[in-house]
Amino acid sequence: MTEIYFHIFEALATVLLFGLVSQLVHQEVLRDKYGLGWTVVTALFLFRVIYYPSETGSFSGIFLFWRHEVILFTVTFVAIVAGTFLTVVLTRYSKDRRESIQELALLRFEMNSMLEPSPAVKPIEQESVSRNTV
Amino acid sequence: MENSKRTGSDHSILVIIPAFNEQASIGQVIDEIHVNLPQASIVVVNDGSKDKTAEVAGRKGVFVLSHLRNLGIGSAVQTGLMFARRKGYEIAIQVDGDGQHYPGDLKTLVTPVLEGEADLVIGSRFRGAGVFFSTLPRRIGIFFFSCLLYVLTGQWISDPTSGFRAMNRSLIDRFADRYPMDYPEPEVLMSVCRFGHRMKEVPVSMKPRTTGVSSISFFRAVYYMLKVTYAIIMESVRERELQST
Repeated sequence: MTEIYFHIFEALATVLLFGLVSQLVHQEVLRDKYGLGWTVVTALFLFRVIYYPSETGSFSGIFLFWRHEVILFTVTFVAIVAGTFLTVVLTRYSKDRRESIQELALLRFEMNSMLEPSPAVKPIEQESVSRNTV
Repeated sequence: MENSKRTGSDHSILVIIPAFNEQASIGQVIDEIHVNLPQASIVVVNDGSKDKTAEVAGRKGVFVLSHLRNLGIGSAVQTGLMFARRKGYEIAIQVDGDGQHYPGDLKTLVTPVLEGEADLVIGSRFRGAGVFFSTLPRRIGIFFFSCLLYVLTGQWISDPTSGFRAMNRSLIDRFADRYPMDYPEPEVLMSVCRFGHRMKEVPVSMKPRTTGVSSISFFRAVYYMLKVTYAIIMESVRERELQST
């Protein structure tokens, strides 16, 4: 029973470790709403790849596969690189799309204002306030 | 505002209302803001609503900016701040479109910014005498973020998830450029602290939601806790790096 708890702890620690590293990349490069989603996916994927071949635990798995499983090491390495690249590309796309939608909203407002002056444009006296009026 | 600059006025205020499917409440929110802070302009950022939020707001004669798709609260607020910066507003106030914020507190919220006491003023539901309608898990979550921010910044914020805020021009400029996207409120506080801006909390009341449903389900709440915790910690690391360079 204790062993099960140990494995659960190990599994959580591994996911959190990779999650943290992945999140660092997300925060520095991406800063997007999909950051955590991709972090979890990446972390779970890495955990699966690294933890699976080990019979004794995730961390020993890391050391086992480079000794005995060259192919698995290669797959893991490629997965990390590809996963990071994919994440960057997808989230960059998402960021670009978001900024485009925001700019478009502002642009549409300006165009509508030119075509038809908005009733929301208040007279100067109403628009500006001094401390005494609040 | 260009107008206010010409007239030499001290301040101009913009109330930003991010709204997603709030057609039932947005009209009343606008009316109450007009009554309680008549000198302020109002912009509704319609964040890809499927209902008639934009039409209802437009009929009230306020500025309306419409996202073609739903981008989330952070993006909606940022669009409002971009608008505020372009139009030259000196103060921006964020008010939720669901009608839970009490517009009678607007003057309390904006006064410290007007008087130069703080760069950011947060309406705290825990500092007033009013009743805050919330569940125990939500309160625990809020307390957790207060503790986390205190550990990282040394400043105690009793209501870090409050979306009822006022900020001055320096923060409008800062956050128009970069604003957290997902559940942004606590992360914004971290950023404000790290850059040395002054924050202040004022007591506000909050009304129970009468229309629509909360966007925070159980699974979203778990996601929220993880995401925001990560984001706050990473934001603290980021700012240290920026400050050291």
